[in-house]
Amino acid sequence: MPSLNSESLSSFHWMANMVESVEVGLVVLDLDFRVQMWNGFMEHHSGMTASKVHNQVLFELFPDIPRAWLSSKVEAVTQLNTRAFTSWEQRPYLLRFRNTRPITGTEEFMYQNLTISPLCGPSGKVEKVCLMIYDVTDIASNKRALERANDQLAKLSMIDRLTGLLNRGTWENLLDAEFSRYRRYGSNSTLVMFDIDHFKAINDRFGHLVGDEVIRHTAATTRSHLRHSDSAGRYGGEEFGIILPETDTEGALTICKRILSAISREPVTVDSHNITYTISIGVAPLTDRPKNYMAWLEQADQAMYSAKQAGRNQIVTFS
Amino acid sequence: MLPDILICDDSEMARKQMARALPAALRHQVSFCRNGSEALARIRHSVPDMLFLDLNMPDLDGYEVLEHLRSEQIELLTIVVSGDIQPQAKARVFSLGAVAFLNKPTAPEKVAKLLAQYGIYCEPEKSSLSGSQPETNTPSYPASINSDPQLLLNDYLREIANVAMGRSSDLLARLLGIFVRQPIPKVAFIASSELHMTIAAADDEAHYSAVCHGFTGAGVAGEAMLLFADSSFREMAEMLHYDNLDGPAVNVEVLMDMSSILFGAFLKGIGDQMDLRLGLSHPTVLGQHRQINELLDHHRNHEQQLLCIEIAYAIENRNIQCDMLVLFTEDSLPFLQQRLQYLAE
Repeated sequence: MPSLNSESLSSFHWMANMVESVEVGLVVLDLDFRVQMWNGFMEHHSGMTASKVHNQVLFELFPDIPRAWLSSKVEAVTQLNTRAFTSWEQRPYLLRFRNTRPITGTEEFMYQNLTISPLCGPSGKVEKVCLMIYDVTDIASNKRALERANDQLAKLSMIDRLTGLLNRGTWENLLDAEFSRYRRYGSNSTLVMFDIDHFKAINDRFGHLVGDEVIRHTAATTRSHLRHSDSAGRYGGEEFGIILPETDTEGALTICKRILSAISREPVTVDSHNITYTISIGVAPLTDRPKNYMAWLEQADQAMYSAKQAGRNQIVTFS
Repeated sequence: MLPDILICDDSEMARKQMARALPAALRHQVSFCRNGSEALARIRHSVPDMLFLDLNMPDLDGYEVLEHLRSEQIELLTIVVSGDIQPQAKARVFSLGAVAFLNKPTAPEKVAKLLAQYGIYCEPEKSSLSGSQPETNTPSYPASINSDPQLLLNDYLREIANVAMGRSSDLLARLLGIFVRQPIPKVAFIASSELHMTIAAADDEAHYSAVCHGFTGAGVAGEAMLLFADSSFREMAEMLHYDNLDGPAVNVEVLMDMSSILFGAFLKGIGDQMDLRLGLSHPTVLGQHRQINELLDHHRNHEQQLLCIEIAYAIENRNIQCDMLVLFTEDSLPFLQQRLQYLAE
């Protein structure tokens, strides 16, 4: 073997220094998974020194490592002499390292990307593999935060801001889905539409802010009388709709009567005004007659107008 | 009299490279065909002394040419020249009657040896005048070869991609213990905003997942993308012998494993042929379970011309559809043009 001169010795020394201090985990394993090299990053995060892990089998040092998984990856790398990459999205980490940052660290552990590289000996045969472990906690937590925010946005875009009920678009989609479900499977379903009586007069007399409070109160009262599977939405200004799945006319009337009487009984108090108001309700049990959900909606609307014409504060069933 | 040699390859660059691998004296005598049907017509008309045959061609491919020769009982020394280095490809062509198999790009020594072995042509001693033979007339190409430099560049790149693809298919075949039928790479210039339309195999309704690898070298850069139909994941996971076949992580696992294997070998193949070292970045998941235009939607802001190589892999007898796209940036074009010209000279 040619002897190393002092210049190449010193450059070897620098290189070793860089490998030691780079902020990437570097591990060299022989083909029996015995640790041949373990850099500073690995020492700091695992709490195990290079001398302690030297020649030890990785799986014995870290029993939690998914053995079959890592073995098959390493096998492909050595057999094909090609690199393999794994991402935190498939497996959050190879080695569970604690989150070490009290201020900026929001995650419990370090998310890791892993690259497995073949290392060839002088003969060109793969003799060892190198694991490179990258700390991608920042990327992972940002991406997860973004996903959470998107979920929340999606939810917000379905909701009516004033009442917290479903907005018209979302509610109509549900109505359409309920209509299709009935077409396919049958079973009862009833639609309820209702409207606040003389709402314009309330607005004119007390102002819009009070009007809004009345709408909010109507929504809250409605919600408190519904079951989990019922869907209530704000259809227009002071008009609301409720989808009652698996409910016949009788069941729907029971629910509607409760809402009707609760609203007419309890006045709303806004800015020391006690406002008593009523609603008119139309009920349309689903039959084979409507061609689409809009025709069904039309039936409930007609029933509601009949209730208005008959003197308000009452329920009319479409027939 | 000089022997009658026929070269059949759909790529102009491959035809040139093959002709250049012949001894100088034969170079100007060879005839060329651009596909299997053309070659068969020519052979039926007059049988040459030797045929150098590519495997991976549109219409009638090399396997089919061999089958025809056999069924029509045409005796012809056929040497297959291919980028497909899977052991099974070799076995298939030998069983169909080919006498030898040469890997692309072809080495002149191997060609000379084969010509001598079959008594077609023996090169005179090096001391003779062979080196100073006039090489004024260029090989006679079949009619209507397009000389548009743009199309030439596409042709060269397709051939380079073809050879590189042979290497990645070989790895895949070895890992899975299967035979991978070589698709024909498509090369095209596209605007980055049209990326989603390029993916010809993509179905508008179906959902896909994709992973991307950036690559850079001196003078070239780009990104490679592997696109998997969501319907293919389960079968792919089965073929890779995963213990766990369900759950969201499996899809990422398949994408990562496949992209490591396919791109590592492919980009090394490209680099080797162009004498270039390419660095490969850690892959990133572009998106999962989306429609194609949605996957690529957020990545359309910067408008540029891209050079795109598309390889649509399909695995025999399996419902697996996987598209590989290699996109070179606009800035890489001068370098590519220069290198490819050099290769084709």
